[in-house]
Amino acid sequence: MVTPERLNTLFRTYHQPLVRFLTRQVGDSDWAEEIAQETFVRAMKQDVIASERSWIFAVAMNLVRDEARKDARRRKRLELMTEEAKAESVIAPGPTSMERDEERAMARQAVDALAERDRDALLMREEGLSYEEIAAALDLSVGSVGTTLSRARRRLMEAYEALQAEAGGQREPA
Amino acid sequence: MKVVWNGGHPDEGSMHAWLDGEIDADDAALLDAHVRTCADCTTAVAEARGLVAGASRVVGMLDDAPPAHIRPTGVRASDTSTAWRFLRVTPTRAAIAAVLLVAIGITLTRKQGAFDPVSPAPSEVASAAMDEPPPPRARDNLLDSAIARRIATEQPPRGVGAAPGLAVTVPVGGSAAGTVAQAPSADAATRVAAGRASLRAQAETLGAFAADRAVFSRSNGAAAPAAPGRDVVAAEAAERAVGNATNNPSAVNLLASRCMRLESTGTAAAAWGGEPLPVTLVFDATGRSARVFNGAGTATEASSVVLAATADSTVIRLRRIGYDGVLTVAGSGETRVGSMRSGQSTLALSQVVVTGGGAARADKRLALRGDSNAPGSAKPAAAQPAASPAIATRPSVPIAALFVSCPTG
Repeated sequence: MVTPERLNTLFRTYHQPLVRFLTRQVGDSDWAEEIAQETFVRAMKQDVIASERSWIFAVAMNLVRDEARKDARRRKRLELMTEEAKAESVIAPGPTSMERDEERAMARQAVDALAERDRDALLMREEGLSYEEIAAALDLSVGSVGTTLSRARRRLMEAYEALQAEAGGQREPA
Repeated sequence: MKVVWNGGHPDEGSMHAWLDGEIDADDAALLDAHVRTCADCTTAVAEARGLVAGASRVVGMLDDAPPAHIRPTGVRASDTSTAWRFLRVTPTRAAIAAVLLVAIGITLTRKQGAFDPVSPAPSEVASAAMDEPPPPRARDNLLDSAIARRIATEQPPRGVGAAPGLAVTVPVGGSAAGTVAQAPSADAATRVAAGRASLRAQAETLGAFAADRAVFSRSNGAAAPAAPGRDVVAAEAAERAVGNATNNPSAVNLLASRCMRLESTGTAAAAWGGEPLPVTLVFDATGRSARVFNGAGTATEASSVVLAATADSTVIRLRRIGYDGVLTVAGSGETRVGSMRSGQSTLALSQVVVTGGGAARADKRLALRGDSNAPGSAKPAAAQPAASPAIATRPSVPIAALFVSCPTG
């Protein structure tokens, strides 16, 4: 088992970025927090963790997938939230806050539209994981991380810009 | 990682890796050299740079909490602030918060118990205490309890309750949980910030005042008086005492036939009864009144009377038609500090407040002058008119009072 001191260090170092990463992944900070806690529980049971950050993010990702499979209802909720956000923004556009809500909803949609691996790699990179760590967490070769990230970024921006164009078209006066 | 060359050009993944700082130094130099000479690659790198920045921006948008009106029941917003995330009310966290509040309260109470209101040091201590981060143990407790909660597999419903004794009712799910948990904390944080700013302002005021006085003391070759905070407090007390203090004959005697130069220690120009500082008060043999000499050592139309004098304070009114004001001087020894309020008025009176006394000064005076005192001539300060209420509205100017050789004029 990991010593309590080591676990404390792990928690302090990785809890915040992990929860942010998970929240970005699943769009639910409560759920993200639970998964993060479960991740650290599992870390506690490990004898040795070679690459800590890779291990923690990989375990958290696996937990997300497991949970997602077990509880598809949550995903439904997220879809509902996205749809409601979209509907709301279309019905009542105008104020800055509403525009920001709309942008956020589009960002959510664009991120959700990414392939799972692309999304994982991108969100891990945004949390500062190195290519080596991302490769270890996602079981990729280091050389392919750049390609994965470039694809993820391009597709994300394409999706986001398409959503923006769509929203812009809907806002055009008749 | 190495650059992957494709048809003599780096592939897109390599460009992203380069921008991410993940290319080995040697390869990075090669790539850099190539991009400088290849227009297509320059364009491609620029595009990649835009994608990196744009993707980061879009991902960052996920952190903004969606408003409640579009949030389905049971789904919480993503939360930008980590601190707020930790403040979500759960029974464990509420209990930790309660323990922390009690601990902080005890700490502050103990510090306040040792507080010396006239010394600037406690202010700094109190300010420093407020700046201290929360005890690290709190985070450890959070971790321990979080893990224990998971291991026990009996995690209570989210956001259902607060710690025993806390009258907080939190709805299940929804944004209200965050609202209830955060509002008091935000209020407390505001008050702590205000208190901290106040303490810092006090410390800075006292520090600047002490610094001004130290410069003044050095420039006049006088010993720097101790405890600047105490001087200010004593001066203010003396000012409040105007009109109801009772003269102490021996204190009045200490002023007799002495000369006190008043100088501004602030940055703003100051005048006393229309006479720009420095001015010199030349006390008569009774110590009950003084003439006012200007900086050139010439007598002016202003004069003064001692309004009140005690063992550690003396109050003097300056008389001149068309002016009023209050001059507050405190401390002991030959150099003293205080503050002054003065300005034109329809009233015919100005006031000077001088505090502090010392046997050494009296001895010195007697040695220098060799004249006798007239204690019997001192009258109760209460018999003199009080300061004009308008004086209190005048801006306060920090001053120093220095016993000097009397003008020969």
